[in-house]
Amino acid sequence: MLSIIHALSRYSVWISGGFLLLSAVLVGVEVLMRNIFQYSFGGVDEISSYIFAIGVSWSLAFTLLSRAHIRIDLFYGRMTPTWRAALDILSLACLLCVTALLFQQALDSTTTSFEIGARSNTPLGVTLWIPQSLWAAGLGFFGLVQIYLLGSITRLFIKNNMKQIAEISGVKSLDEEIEDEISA
Amino acid sequence: QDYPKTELSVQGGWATAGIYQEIEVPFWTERLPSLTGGNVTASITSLNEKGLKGPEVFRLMRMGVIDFGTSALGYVAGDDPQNEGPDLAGIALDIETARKVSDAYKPALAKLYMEKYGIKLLMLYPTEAQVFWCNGPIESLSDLRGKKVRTGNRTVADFVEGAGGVTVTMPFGEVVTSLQLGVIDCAVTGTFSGNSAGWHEVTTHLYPLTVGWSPFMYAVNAKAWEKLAPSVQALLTEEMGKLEDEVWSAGAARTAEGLSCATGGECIFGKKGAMTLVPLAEADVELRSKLVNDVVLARFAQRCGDACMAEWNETVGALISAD
Amino acid sequence: MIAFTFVALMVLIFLAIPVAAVMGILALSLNFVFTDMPLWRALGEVSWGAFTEFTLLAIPLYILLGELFLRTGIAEQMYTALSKWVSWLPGGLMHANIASCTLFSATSGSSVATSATIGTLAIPQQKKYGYNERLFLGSIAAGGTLGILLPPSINMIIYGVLTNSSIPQLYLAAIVPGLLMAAIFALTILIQSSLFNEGEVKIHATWSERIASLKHLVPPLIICVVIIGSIYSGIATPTESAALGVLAVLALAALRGMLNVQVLLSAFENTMRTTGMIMLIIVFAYFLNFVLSGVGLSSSIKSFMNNLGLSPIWTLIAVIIFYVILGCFMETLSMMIATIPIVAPIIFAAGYDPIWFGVVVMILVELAMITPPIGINLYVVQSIRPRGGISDVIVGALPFVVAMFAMVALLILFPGMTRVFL
Ligand code: NA
Ligand code: NA
Repeated sequence: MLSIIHALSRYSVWISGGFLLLSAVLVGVEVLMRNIFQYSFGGVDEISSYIFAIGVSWSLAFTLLSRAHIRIDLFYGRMTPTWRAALDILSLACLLCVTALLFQQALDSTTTSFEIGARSNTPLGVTLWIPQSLWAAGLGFFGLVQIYLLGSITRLFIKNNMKQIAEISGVKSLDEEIEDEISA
Repeated sequence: QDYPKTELSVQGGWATAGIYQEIEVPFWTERLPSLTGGNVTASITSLNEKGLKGPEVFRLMRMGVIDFGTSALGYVAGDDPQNEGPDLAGIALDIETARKVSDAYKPALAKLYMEKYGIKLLMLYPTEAQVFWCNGPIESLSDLRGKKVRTGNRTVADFVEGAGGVTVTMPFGEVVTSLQLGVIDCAVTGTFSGNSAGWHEVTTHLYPLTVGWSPFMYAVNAKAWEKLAPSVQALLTEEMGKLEDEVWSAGAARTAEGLSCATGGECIFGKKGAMTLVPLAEADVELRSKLVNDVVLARFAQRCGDACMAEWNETVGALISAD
Repeated sequence: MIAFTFVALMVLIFLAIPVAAVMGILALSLNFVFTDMPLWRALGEVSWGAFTEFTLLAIPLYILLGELFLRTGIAEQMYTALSKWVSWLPGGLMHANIASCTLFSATSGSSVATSATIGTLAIPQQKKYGYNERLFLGSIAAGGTLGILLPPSINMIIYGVLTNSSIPQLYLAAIVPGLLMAAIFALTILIQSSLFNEGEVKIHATWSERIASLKHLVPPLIICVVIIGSIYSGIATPTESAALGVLAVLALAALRGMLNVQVLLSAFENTMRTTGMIMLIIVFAYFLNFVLSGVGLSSSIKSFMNNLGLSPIWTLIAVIIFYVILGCFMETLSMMIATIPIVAPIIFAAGYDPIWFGVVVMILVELAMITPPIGINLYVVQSIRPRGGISDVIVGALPFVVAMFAMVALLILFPGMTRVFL
């Protein structure tokens, strides 16, 4: 199961990255058109921001699985594995709390857009609930991954398997962190 | 009058627009308490302090996160084109016309806001005349042809496109440098706000054809309003009526002050510039009417639909053609 | 209310709760304790606003650019070339560290990326040539911070968005202070090396070797010209220029035959992972800021400052001290987003120029990156070392902390240096 989640989050990051590159190309073309042909598509910035919002919300789970959401290990590093594991569980629970609220409010915002027929105030006039629902779905995926992880590490905690908890959701050791930063 | 202890919570406008410090803050935190012997008080924060962009104010009022709030009509023009109704580009060259248009269209907006957001419209007010700031010579409307113009809303974009210009959208904060570097040739904003943002330092010609007044509204969440004592409601209705008149006069003063400051005239609150004030030719005023009819109104009708257009014609349209 | 906020913040941080969640929970508890208004219901609107801020799109673009830059070997060749030019000075390769960081900064928007890249290339050289280990590590940690002072810069974009200042103007204003900062770092190394001659081997290169190495500086210069040049020639806005930079690196990578699906996918992974981390913090920092001003904490801090009745210069000094202390304990992005909406209006009201203050804030943020206990660049450099404790890096960075204070003082004494290009 965990490997499926990893794979899903990795695919969504690849797709998000692809779309990011696509928006870089769009912006590049817009700049060329504006400077050479005095023509502006109007709205490239807006479409790119939707791509950005959706891409990032679908990447949050990958960030979590890579243990890259910043935690400050002032005391954490000096604690026993059991205490660390307990804090890992607490951390994930806290993150789930705020993510659940974020997701719920994002849904609320999306349904509001739908109800009032909200459209962006630009030449494009995009119907807002469409990008918003894709964005909210990414947040929902982020939340689901957290629920699964929280379940797994709680089970591991009961089984007293602190080492595996650290591998799943511990604060990264320095060696691991740099590996991310420079790995090719 | 007897006023129960009431504490109001207000989301004010942009701290950077003169009106916030000069009019909004004193109204809520000084005038209301002094009229009620300190029984009605209010706390007010600016959009900047809350880190808001403006458009979400309508929705936050709908949710009840904000009770009293102010926001630009243009921010939610996407939600409903009726918001463009009182400020279509080029329909009101002077502030007297703008005020008449605003008053005429107010009932339509009040109905829209109540239905859509569950908020009660308290007042409509202008910022100031929206004009063209260009970093090169411009003598007439036809000189906009081929120029890259930053526009803040769709109806001004329609107008500029009608005149043959290329419209560009970008954040307000990036306009100064974009003008300076020539990313764009002209940009549209208020006479005073352009002056306070330093646009006169990066542009040479101010073309004073007014393409809008950037109207704002003050409204209140209907449920929050219901909870207020009748005496407080009456007081607010009366005082906001007076406030509306004051804000309109202030809008006229700011328009003149901004224009004068940017072009090296008398200048008290703004920053003195040395821009060339392009005289508005009679031919341009006529060309403007043609653009309004052929492009601005035609496109507005498309966006807005038949019923909305009919209502607009009965209220604003009748008034404009009568002029 | 201030005490409650501070205690809650400290407890949550010490429990190693993710920073984004710390801010979210802090905001919620402030909401429920201090007001009946459902401020939390703004979370959806506030975060949609943050997620769709076009200016912030520059963040993933800069990160992607740096990823591709490293993976194509351009960075390594640049380091070797620069070391041939500057390593005859007392302090040897440490000058190459600073010079490489400076040049790399002109293509990178992030300090972490800068010190990680240069650190990876430089640290293996330190043992080989017998440098004073601490100072050597410090030079990388400090040099890397230039990544956000010299344009382009993610942090400057965030400052620009928060204060509605022009990002190109911020970029222009930071060029002279950025280069001066690099020079001060070099001077710090010169003084240290002259005082404590640790017997490092100087690397001597012949002039023909030096000339031959120049071609390796061309690719980073091209990227730099594309990014900075497109802004100042009036072709593109800052966000657009980041997109052009990405396209230029792609073209260079393709020319070198280094562009393939594997490279792209792993660049995407690193880019989106870091962007996800940053954006989650930004979203909850925006939300915290909304709640802070909703419950009136922001205005009570402001009136507290007003009641102190400080003169402009003392207001500024108080703000600087505030940032130095906060910077010891706080992650820099959250620090900026949570404090600038409160601090900037106070400083502007005291009559200071927003652009100038933006440069000052950048240096204070850089400082926060190398002050213990929480300094991201210290961690990055430490993590590249094969062995040894973090205290080596902390001690090694201290002289550069002093150098940064000197730089802040210079900025206050000579504010005109930010206006050279404006
Ligand atoms: Na940089
Ligand atoms: Na620090």
